Amino acid sequence: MISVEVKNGSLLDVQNLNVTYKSTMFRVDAVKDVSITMNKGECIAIVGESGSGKSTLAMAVMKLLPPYATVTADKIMFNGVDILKVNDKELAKIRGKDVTVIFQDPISYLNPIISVGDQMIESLSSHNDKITKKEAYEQAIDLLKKVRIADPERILKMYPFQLSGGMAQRVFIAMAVSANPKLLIADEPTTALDLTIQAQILKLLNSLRKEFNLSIMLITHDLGLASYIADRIYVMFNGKVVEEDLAEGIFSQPVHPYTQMLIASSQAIYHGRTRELSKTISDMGKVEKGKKACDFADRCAKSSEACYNEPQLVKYDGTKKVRCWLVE
Amino acid sequence: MRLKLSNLNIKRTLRRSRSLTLSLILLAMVLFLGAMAGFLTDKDPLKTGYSTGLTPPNSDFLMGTDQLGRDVFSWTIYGVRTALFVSVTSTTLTVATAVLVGLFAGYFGGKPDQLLMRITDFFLSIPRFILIIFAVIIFGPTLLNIILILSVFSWPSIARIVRAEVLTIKEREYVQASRVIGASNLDIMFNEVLPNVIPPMLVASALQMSDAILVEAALSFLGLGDPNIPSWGRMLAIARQAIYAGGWWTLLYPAMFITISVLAINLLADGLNDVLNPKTIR
Amino acid sequence: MPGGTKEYLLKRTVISFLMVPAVVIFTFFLLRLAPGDPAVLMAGEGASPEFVEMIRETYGLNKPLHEQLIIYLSKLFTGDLGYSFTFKRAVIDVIFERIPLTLLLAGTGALIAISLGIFLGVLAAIKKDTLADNVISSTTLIFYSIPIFALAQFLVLFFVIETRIFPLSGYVSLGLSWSDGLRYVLDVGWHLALPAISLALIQMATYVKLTRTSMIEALYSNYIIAAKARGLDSRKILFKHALRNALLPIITVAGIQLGLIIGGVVITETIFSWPGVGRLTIEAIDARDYPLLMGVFIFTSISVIIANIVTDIVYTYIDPRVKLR
Repeated sequence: MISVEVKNGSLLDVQNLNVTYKSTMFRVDAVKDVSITMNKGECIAIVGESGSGKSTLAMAVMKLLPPYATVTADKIMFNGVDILKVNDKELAKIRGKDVTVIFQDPISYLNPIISVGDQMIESLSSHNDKITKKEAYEQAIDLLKKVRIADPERILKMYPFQLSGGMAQRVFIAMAVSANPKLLIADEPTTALDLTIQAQILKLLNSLRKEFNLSIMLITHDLGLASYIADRIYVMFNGKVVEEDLAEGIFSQPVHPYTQMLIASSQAIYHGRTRELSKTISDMGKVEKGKKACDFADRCAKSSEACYNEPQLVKYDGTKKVRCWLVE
Repeated sequence: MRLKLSNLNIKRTLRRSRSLTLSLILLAMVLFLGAMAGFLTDKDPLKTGYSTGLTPPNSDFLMGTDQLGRDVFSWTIYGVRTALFVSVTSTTLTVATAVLVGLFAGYFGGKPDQLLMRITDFFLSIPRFILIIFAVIIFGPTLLNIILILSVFSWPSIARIVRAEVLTIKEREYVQASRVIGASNLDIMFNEVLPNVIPPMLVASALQMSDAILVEAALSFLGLGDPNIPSWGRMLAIARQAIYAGGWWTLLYPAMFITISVLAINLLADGLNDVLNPKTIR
Repeated sequence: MPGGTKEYLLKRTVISFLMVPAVVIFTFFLLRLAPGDPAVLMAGEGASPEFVEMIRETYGLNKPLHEQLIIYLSKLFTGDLGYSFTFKRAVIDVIFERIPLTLLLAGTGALIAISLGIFLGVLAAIKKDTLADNVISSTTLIFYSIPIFALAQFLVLFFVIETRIFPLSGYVSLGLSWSDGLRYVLDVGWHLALPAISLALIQMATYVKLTRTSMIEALYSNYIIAAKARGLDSRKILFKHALRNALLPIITVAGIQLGLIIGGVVITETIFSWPGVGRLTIEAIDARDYPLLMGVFIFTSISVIIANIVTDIVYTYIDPRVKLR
């Protein structure tokens, strides 16, 4: 792990972010009062199950959510720029250049009727006015080689639907690092890929991180992946952060019952201790479902009367913050 | 797996789709007028001579009369019944045929399926309207003929839709499950596949109804309709001459009614689509 | 390009052309189903017995049915669609004479419908759920529901009768011809305006609706989010990425529309006395000129078939997902 100076939030500072999806048919509070910070060169992971709001959080930071999502926050500062106040043109300059995003299922995030080469060249030209098409082409070849694609010329001629998932993700990563960004947001980059490819992609991300001094925000449901690359981890449940700490702290001393459950489950699966797994799957919380309470209470084995009130996120022991009555 | 009508909450459904609400209101108005025709007017829609010539709307003739003294109001109101009758009967025939054929073809596949595809291809390559005209001339412009001809030339494209749905549904788990239990093919077709084909068919049927109204009106406009029934199309043909003499009412009222009727049914189709496929961002 | 696509297109073309004989046979038998003596029908009202007999000879109507069919089909291959007794000329000549005007009318109408339709559809999609979108969508819905013979007559009422801006009938004023150059062209255009607008307004509704839906789907796609995330210029995103994808289904629909608009053309040409193939159909019907009617029918069928094939080919070449199967 690369150690970092705790100059809190020098790269990214998000305070009290709220995101609500609203339409005529439904209303979902996807992210509730979440604050995260990142320092230059740091790598964080946001871990949670589906519906925890982690992807929404990542997209919200760069205002990439659809119009039916309402985003409010006290502060979103990226690299000194106030994202909340900046206009669209300025934002477009930052995106792709200082902040880039890679997505789950990369093939669907590429334009299906334009060749890979044309899309890469377009990306390269958009952040460098003076580059010629030929130069961009050469650069694209170099980038593809850098992400360990063996036959770049052939790939550039292809269309997205002709690529494999792993290949497409590499192309995406190549485009993402092309402008030497400060922050790479990776939204479940390996979830849709085969297990062996997953490892490759993560190794690639790690090496690129060292080579470019890149900060990475990894969104994932897999604590194992998070442990591989993250300096600090935020655990999210139901739109809120329930525990945040340095990576070692999360694994050596998980405090929130949900975190403990996550760790126990992944260990049980990895080590074949499935009997222990059943102990962790608890939907027999002692709190009645439906009554206003801590979000996790009805799945929590350690719930009690106190859990009928919503706990706050508080500091606990140095770098850790936890949202649970067990610590308050 | 069956659709339960009890799952439908009427108020919520209406609120969800403005199209549906509007369409039902319009339809109710039109249908009311058509049903009450006997009470609303005592004049025979096809009878000439109620007045000496083209007469603008007044207290005697709410919508005026045409050159031959026919009452436009009476014609327009009774026209609702014509339009409705033609569209409902021909659509019922069309959909019934289409569903049966599409169901069998889609479920059993093989030769019958190939045959169906060839037939639908054929009907798609020909200019349907001219063929309908042709057939009407040959067999004679009576109401029955028109309804039958419309049905014959409309079922292939709907059968195609049915077939496509059947192919999808055929592979679903509950159908496989039924097969494992040992249900007969006929059983599966009618108890499992058919009920799930119906929702998408509703939209297609609504569109078919509005199409039927337009085709019948077009035929009547060209003089190929049944001369013994009051069709809006024919009034609009009469209007061609009448508007030169200032008789705008012969154009306006039937045009209004036919547009509103077709609009209402199209909105119904839209509304049904809203209700049955709520996930799409429109 | 891999052989697969070429083969596929070839197969499709062949099957499509096989439809033509199928159409012919179909109409042939349909015609023979008519009650009464076909020779008498074809000879027309008040024809002399000798004329009827001549008709019978020419068309071999006294021969068995399958022989008649073969005669007709073989004549078809040589381009002989029969003889129109109303016009006293070969059917094929009569039809070909009228084609240019119909093409002019249908083409102009389609051009206006497609360009305006796409423009309004894109506008409605971009401004989704705003007043502009609602106005466009509602108006479109109304035009989608109004029959063309009503719409055309409203136009006539306002622009011909009430205000005399446009002429009623024909395609050119008396006395003008090609030799009059620009005056001729403008005059034809003046006559063309209302019928073309009628056709356009009716067709436009389909294009607006389709473009709007297609564009919205494109705008909400993943690749657009990714494009935004790459910091691409928003105008570029709109046109190069979203619109290009949105236009694909429109090409298919345009092809289908060509087949569907025939009814509209017939009615429009009738209302405006535009002497094209559409009005020819009605004239043939009124005169009970069956050879002419059959000829028109076969001709339009072939046009529709060709239009479908062309659309298929164009679409195959434009969408890489289809081209590179």
